[in-house]
Amino acid sequence: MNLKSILNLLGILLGIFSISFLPPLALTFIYQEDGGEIFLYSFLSLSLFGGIDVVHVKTRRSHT
Amino acid sequence: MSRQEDLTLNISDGFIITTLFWVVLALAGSIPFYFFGLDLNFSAALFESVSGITTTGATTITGLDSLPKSILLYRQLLQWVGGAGLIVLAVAVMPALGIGGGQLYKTELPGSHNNQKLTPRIADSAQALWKIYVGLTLSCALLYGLSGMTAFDAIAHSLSTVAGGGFSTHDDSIGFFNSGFVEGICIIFMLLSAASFAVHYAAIFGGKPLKYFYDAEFKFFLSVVGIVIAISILVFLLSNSYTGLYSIISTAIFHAVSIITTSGFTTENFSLWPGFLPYLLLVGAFMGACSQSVGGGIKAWRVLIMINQAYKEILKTIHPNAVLTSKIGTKVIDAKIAEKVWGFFSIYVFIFMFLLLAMLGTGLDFESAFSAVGACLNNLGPGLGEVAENYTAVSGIGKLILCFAMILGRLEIFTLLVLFTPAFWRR
Repeated sequence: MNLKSILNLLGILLGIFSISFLPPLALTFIYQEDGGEIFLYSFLSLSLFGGIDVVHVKTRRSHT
Repeated sequence: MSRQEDLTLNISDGFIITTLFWVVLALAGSIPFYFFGLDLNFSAALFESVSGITTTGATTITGLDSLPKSILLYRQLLQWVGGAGLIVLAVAVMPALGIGGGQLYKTELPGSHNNQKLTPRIADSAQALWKIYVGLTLSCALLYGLSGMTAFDAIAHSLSTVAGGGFSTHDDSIGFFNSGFVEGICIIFMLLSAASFAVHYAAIFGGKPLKYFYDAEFKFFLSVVGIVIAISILVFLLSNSYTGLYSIISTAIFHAVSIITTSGFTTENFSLWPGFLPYLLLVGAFMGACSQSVGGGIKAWRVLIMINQAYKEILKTIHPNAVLTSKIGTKVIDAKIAEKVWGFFSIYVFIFMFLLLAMLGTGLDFESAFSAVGACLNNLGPGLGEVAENYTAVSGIGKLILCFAMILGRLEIFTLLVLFTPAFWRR
């Protein structure tokens, strides 16, 4: 099992998936609805998690 | 170790990534549902997310018409992302990593009966799939818009229609629009999304626009839909359930297509239909869509092989010494493939029985439990009895069991079950 590849790919997939929070976030502004912060925090946390995951794997790879 | 070697995936990694993709995304996707103030507990939020990402379309949310547009669009987007699936996402991502993705392609499309890539290079395949998927979505949204839907409804419903999902922005689903034009567009795109993307590819990029008409699996799928429509019309006429031939025909066509393609849109509560019709539709959903499509179910090609094999066995009983071959169209079916199909079916039945007993154990009545497991395992959505309109009647444990069923169905059982075998971890 190649854990590095799996983590790297999952990180990227999470980062891409976090984009799906942006259209609903935009709608909260357009229609002035509540709940925008939920989509914003979800987007930030997932993209950050995904980003850290990818960077961590790449950093470890550059050390080997 | 070179970068290429460092990131090489083997078949085991493919299974793990495919499964993790659905599980992690379902968990992440449940965050807005849990915190949005929809009065959903963890199991209900997870259920909604799993239902979205697996394109099942079962819901625990009521009062959709009064919900903010942002959360409604989010539900639809979840289905669209799920429909695109790992095949498009991972295949599009992996070339950027410089690693091979053949294993993922294989596990994402376990229904594939030819194991051939759509094009020699997997990156090209991803691009082609994206183009087809996005093209279908845009076309659907445009036609919905022309039919009189608001721009929001048109976009939202195109996302779930092309994904074969069935989520709507209204409690009455497609029935809210009360429009034959809308229903017609929905029927066309549900059928297109139930067709193999390999067939779409051949028709659009391969210069074979008539491929739909001579693909054996798609023809068989359409035949089954046609038979269910004919039976439904006959029962409606005999039971005097509707007044007017147009109403009878349009209702029968819409629901037969919606349920058998495992989309799950409705214009009315079909569980109240006369006689055996609700069960007939549910049985149709067990077959489901074609391989390499966004639909669920056992898949038409497997059913076709099982019918062929059964017919062959009957002939062998009459002519014990005859040498017979199974065929789909002009293709001869290898005995190993037929064996795999029967293996899949036996595990499918075993899993179904296990999940049914588990759901009965949560206190659900037999009809509701049977249809809930069938609707979730086949990624259909609406069931019968207490789960005909929504899944609020299901207990927290029951919802978690059904989440497992939906993911099992989306991964066509083997991909997930293989992780529970000791042999897999000894590799």
